[in-house]
Amino acid sequence: MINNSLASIINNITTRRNVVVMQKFKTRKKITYSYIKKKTNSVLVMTFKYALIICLSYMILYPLLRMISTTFTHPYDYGSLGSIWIPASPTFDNIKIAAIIMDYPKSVLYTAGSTLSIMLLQVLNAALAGYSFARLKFRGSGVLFALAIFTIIVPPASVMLPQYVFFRNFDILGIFEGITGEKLNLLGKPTSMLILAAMGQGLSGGLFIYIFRQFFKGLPKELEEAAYVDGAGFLRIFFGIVMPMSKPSILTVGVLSFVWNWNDTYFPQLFNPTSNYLRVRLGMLSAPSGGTSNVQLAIGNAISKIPSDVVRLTSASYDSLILSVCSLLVILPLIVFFIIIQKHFIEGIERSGIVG
Amino acid sequence: MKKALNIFSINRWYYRLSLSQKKAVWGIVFLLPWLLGFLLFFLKPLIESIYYSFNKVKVIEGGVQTEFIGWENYIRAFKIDPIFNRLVITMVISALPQVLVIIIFSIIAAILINGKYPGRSLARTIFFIPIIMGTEIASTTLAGTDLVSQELVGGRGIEAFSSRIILDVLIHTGLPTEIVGFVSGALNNIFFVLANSGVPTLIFLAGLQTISPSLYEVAKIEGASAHETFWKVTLPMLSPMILVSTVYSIIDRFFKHATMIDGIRYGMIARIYDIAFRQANYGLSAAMATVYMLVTVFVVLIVSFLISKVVFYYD
Repeated sequence: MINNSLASIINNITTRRNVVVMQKFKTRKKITYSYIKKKTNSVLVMTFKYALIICLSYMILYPLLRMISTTFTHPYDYGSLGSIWIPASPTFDNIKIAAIIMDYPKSVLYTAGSTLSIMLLQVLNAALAGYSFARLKFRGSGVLFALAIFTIIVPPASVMLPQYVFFRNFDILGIFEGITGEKLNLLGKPTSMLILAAMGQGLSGGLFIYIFRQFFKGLPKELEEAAYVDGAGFLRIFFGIVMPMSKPSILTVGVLSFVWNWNDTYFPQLFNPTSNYLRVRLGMLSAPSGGTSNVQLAIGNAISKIPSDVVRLTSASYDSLILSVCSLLVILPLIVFFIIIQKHFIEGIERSGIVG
Repeated sequence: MKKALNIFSINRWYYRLSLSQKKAVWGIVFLLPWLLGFLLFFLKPLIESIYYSFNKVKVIEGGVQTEFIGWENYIRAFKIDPIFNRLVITMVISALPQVLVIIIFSIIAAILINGKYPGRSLARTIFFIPIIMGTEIASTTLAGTDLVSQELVGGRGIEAFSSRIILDVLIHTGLPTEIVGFVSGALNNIFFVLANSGVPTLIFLAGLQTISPSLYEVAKIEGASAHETFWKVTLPMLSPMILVSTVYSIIDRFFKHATMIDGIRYGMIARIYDIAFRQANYGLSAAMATVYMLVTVFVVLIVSFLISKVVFYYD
């Protein structure tokens, strides 16, 4: 009896051990030729991929890094081989001069305010139109959508002059002429750009409508239907249910609109040509001119504001140095904004179904 | 009292509608801001602009004065204006290879930042920086460094030097000169390509996200190599996005087109703007804008027709 049980236990243990050994043997991969080939292949691919990513990242960052290192380079050192990347004698003089030329705090606030309000209007308009095209179809809405796509293709320059004349003599059904005796001149005021943005004819308006429409088409219909059955109106469905669900596409459109409007010179130049826009100011600085460069002129104009201990030169390379510092100042707020928002932005792209 | 009655009757009218009719009503209401904008700021101006291009236009107090002169403006634009015809030709010729390179590059970039590996989020942030940096800003800086290196070395700068080596290597491999020229052109413009690839990369990344993983699983089970998977699964599934981003890039390129003529940089849009508002020749400017629009629409239509021949739609 005891013998028997002992034997069975021993038997059990040995078989178990056998099983364990077998399993171990099974899990250990045989080192064969194909295994080595596969492994080296994947390591090679990985190395190649990282090398490619690092090279491309370097090339993308090159202008930015260049700008940053230029900013702190002493004017006497600019271009010397001793301070290609890391300035030999770092200085804040360039930034001080560039900030004065760009009228910095004031123009940043102006640009940010104007860009932000244009962005909000564009998002609202594109969302409304996109929802109409995606869900609230009516006879002819397909044709209108095709026309909305057509507005992407037609360059804004071909409607430039009539729009200009329109805002030069702005009037709604003769109301303003009746009250003040003359038509309203909306040129040189931000209002004209806001009106265009609110009516979907701002920068890339058609593209934003397209993005929203694709996103709304991908949303589950059931939620909206349930809300309708429960007695919500279409406005309430849109603002209470659809908009909160579309954060990814709102973010995508918002970021694109903000960035593009920030960098745009076409609309400000046409409708509101003040130098309060950072990009317009930069454009004027880098525009070709005969004789003295625009940068030198701008420094000359602001000479009373420049502290006397700040180094400044008169040479073509110094002008290009100041110009590149000014460029950095223009995109600096954007870079900060992008670094804060980038994680959500990229997630938004993945989920917004731009391409649906 | 009367007004309240009015609202009441509208209400009654609204409640009698069927669901699809209600949807149609709200569809028009939602679309109204855009529709008004489209009619007022797009369609009407477009027609007016085409009309102006056949006229001598003068902006006067309270509107414009026109005098019909037929094709005069178009003839002037092509025969008399020293810049415009060259701008149009260089615009079309230079944009197409640029767009090709931009698209190829953005597909590679999107695939690179799509996979899962350590450091991916950093790579993604960097690859989207071109979106926020305007093209012109990047080129200003590069032009600045070029100027300095010219003054220093007296040569054409370090970048020109490095692409020269690659050019030499390519020529010695015995490739046809057209291909070498194309590659070297692309290399010289590499920063330019990078600066313009932001939005196409974004479109391709979004497109890659929509490809169902089950397709890749099937490909793996069937024993397809990575190479085959790319050509037989990824690329066909991305082809609608290739259409979208090609069209986008062409429009973008045309809009930002600028070229050097006799050492001075002329931009297409800037030229049209200057003719209208600096030289006050609105009719000529409208003619140029119309030509520009027709060229854009024509090129976009041809390219999208050609691409849509090979586009694969999954559903």
